[in-house]
Amino acid sequence: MIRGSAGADDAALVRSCLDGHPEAFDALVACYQRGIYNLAYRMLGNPEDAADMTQETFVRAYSRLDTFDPARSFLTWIRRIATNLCIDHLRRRGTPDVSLEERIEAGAQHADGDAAASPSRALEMSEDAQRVLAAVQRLPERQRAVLVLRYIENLKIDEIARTLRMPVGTVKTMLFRGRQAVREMVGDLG
Amino acid sequence: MRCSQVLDALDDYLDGRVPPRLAGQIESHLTVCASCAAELAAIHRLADALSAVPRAEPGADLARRIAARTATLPPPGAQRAFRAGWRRVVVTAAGCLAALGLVQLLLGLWSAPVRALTAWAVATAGDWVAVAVGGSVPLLSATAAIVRAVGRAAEVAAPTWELYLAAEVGAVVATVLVLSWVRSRTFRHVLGLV
Repeated sequence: MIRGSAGADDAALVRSCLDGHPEAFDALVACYQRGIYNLAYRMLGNPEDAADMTQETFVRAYSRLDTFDPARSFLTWIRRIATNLCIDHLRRRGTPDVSLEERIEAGAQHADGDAAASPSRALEMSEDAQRVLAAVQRLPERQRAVLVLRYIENLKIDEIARTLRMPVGTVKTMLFRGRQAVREMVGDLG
Repeated sequence: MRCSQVLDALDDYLDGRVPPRLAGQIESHLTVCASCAAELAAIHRLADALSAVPRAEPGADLARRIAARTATLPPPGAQRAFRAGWRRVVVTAAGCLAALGLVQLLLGLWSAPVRALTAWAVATAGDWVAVAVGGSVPLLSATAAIVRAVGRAAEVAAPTWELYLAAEVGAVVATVLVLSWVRSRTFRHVLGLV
């Protein structure tokens, strides 16, 4: 789950940036880059694409900073940018015809790479988590986004609806279908 | 409660977003309905598995890469200033046109003899006469030149008053656009002044 600074602080940083202090944006990057990277990583399934999308998210946010409404949450706003960019990226990339087992294997290799990069915090994932994550990453883009936001970012239904600008009913339907699809792929857990 | 109602409300129930009375009804249903209870348990297992996914660390250079990219962009406020600038342009242009129209109306330039005189002046006596006849100062010298050029291109011996007016309007709009752009923050950023 993305942890950020308080909303008022974010609004002040945005205002400062708009008032001609672009360095204030660096503080927002420092605060949210890890969360956005993780969101992109879980959506896209590999660290290189996740880093590219994180960079693109902040560039997009910077160039459209004047459209941000300070009365609303910066986190929701930037998460929406990131999710939409990831969805667009997945659409452009198309769905590779990769089996669940191959995807699990690829995920394990990425996790090993991450662990090597930061040995102090090895990424050990349970077999269940690996299987479920691999299954989520085989879902259609929007269903995938809903499940990632729900179970990895721990958002409530109405927060997902706001983030993806979808009706609450659509979010619930996607969540239900996404869960069914994951269950069909991985079978019963636990 | 029917199973379909329970399943529909299950996510809101898990979010704690249902009224206490409905929550009680859902809980009662779950104690007697094995199918709905199994669905709830499956949701919990899925949520548990995904919440066990560890956090990944972005590369140490990611923030630096982002800063390098944003440094090449115009300041974010410039975009806002640019849009505000366009609004100013539209308002200013509309004001100029209204003022010009009023002046011309007051000077009687809409009357047929004056129209003919202006057309004759443009065609025969050159820019400065046109400026004098138009009575609306230096902008119109450029206007007259445009009218003459357009008239020549269109092979019109004496440009019509409508053509003259259209060119005048075009000149006013173009001038306002150029002035606004020069005043804009984006332009100053391009020049490296901000």
